[in-house]
Amino acid sequence: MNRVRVIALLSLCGVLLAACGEKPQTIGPSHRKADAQAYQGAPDDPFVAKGWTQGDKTSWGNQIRQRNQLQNEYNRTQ
Amino acid sequence: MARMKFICDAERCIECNSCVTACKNEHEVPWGVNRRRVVTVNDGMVGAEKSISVACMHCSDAPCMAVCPVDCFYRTEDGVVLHDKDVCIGCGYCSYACPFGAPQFPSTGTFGVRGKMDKCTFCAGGPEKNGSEAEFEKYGRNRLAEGKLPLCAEMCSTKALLGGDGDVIADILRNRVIKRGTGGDVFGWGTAYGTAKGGAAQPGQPGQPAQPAPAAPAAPAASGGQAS
Repeated sequence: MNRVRVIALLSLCGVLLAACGEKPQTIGPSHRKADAQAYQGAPDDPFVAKGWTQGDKTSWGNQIRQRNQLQNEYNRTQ
Repeated sequence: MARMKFICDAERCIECNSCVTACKNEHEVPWGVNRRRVVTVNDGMVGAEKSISVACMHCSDAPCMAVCPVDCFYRTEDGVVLHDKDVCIGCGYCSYACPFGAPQFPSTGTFGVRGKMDKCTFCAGGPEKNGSEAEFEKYGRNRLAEGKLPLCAEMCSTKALLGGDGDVIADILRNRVIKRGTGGDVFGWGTAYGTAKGGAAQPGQPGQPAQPAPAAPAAPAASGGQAS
């Protein structure tokens, strides 16, 4: 009789513990802030280069490519 | 859309450390933190000694992003890998993961406690408002938002360090390699911008079309320089 009670008690404990299942371990949303893209410019910055329109992606891209060519000294020597 | 990359031409670097100085000055980086530094390989070996300017390469598949436990890294539209210092806990995982040793940790305070991670931002600041004082204090100047390129590359006296749109700087280097006939291996290119299936093609290899086409290539590029 005692043996039956023990088995029943253990079974009950098993059922109860099943509620304490594994918690989800997936990563939650990051808390990092959103960043503005570079082509949007820096409105309050007095050091913005001239020759491009802030907020215009194409204008910024052209400015960057044009400025990149300053690193090509063959443009100056040829 | 530009894809920002760095190239250091080891054939040209003269170890003047002006890129290091420019970076520190432009961003007012504290003592003990070097976002960029010049490394010498094969030191003392005649004919084989090369210097390379190394910083965060803004990898295509950045290991720092993969290992960060608080997910503080992000990549901009232009391929620049940045991080949010308000989220960083200074654990140092990124520093172990980075193949270039880019993440730096200021050790200020009474017990030299490791602070928030600091690294090269490609002069693109951080998540604070572009060009704001808050952004400058945490991350330094945001030159990209000013329509400029990283100062280290722009003021390199020998133009060994190239920084900017990957296609443009690869063309610049390719043109050089074809003209001089050597030094096509670029340190770190495959590691930073390669794929899982194999390293990325070196930008200085003559098999790819150079723009503009060189006038008279004297000799095909040999694989000089050091291993990537």
